[in-house]
Amino acid sequence: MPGTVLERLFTTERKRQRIAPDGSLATPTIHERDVTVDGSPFLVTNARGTFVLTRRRSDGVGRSGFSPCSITGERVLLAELYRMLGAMGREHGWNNTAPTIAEARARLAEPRQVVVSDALLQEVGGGELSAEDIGRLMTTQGYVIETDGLRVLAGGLPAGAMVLGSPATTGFYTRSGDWLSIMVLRADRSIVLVG
Amino acid sequence: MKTAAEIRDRIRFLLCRELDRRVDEASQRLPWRCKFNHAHQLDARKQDHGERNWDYNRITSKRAQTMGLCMYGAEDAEQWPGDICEDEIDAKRCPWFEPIQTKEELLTEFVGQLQTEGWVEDNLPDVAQLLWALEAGGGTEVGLLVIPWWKRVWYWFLRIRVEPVVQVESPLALLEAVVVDPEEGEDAGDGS
Repeated sequence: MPGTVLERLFTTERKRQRIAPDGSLATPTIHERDVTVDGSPFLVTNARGTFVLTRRRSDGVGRSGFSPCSITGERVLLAELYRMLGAMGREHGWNNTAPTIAEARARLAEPRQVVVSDALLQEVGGGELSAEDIGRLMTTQGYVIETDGLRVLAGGLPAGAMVLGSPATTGFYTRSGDWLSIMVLRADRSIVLVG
Repeated sequence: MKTAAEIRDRIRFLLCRELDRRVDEASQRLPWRCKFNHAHQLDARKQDHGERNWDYNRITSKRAQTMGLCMYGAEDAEQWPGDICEDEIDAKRCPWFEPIQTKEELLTEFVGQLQTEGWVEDNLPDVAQLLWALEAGGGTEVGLLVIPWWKRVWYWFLRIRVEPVVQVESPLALLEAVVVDPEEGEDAGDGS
């Protein structure tokens, strides 16, 4: 069964929720992992459903928070990721936006995936591709089409597109129940926004 | 006997192939793909008002009687050299080459041509015959002459890069080498 769009973009992990002293499920707050220096800067989720920029600690650990996010609510977090990457890019002068998909591809060493908004994909498809077709393809095979070494995924973005490398080079997706932690590696250069 | 679905697939394939051909051509430095190239009409009349036409000129080609001229810098007629740019090697060596169309214009032109009545019959006869076969089978339908959505997505990702300029000191280096059989050649070097 193909996963969600976010699951396909990153290296996916699942953690069992711990049991709180009162017997209920504990709320996960922080996830720590060993990271390398070249993975910096990191764009990670916090506990409030958005992303913050962080760096590797001196002991070699990178931290990310868990945001409340059910499987069906991942579209919101994906849209937030797109928005925050754009905002961070403008604030820090990252070269992470391109006017066209073709130019965005050229910015990455090994582009593998592209996430496109449904509306944009329908527009490019010239009216032949309906929202139902896109939904069916995403559900059955996990992507809309694979062309020229690039997998096209749709769903979640309100507009525009973003081009990414393989999940191993892009970051981590850690789910624990209805909580989700995302860590984008090399946030200034691993994802290129279009539009 | 092919089914209507197979014929429709074949039409899509032929349209995709035509688009591929255009993309391939747009990636090359060809004289007629340069925005500075002007196809100048040659004066192929041997006589003008019963007298010899001193401007008579023609090329021994089955193509139209035109000669490509490079119009780069033609705004200044005093300085414009009026170079001929007709053969492929002229454009391949030219650093001022600029594509005549953008990627978007290329697709718009093709889509427009497909929608122009009679264009398919004149330029894509294979497609026209298949359309005729569908009509003969009572399968006439609207929207057959469209580029498939997956090809449009492919095209959207595509980056048309014009091949780099060829730098050679002599254009003769671009000509194909002629292989001479030493046994049949006059200068075989065996002293006989």
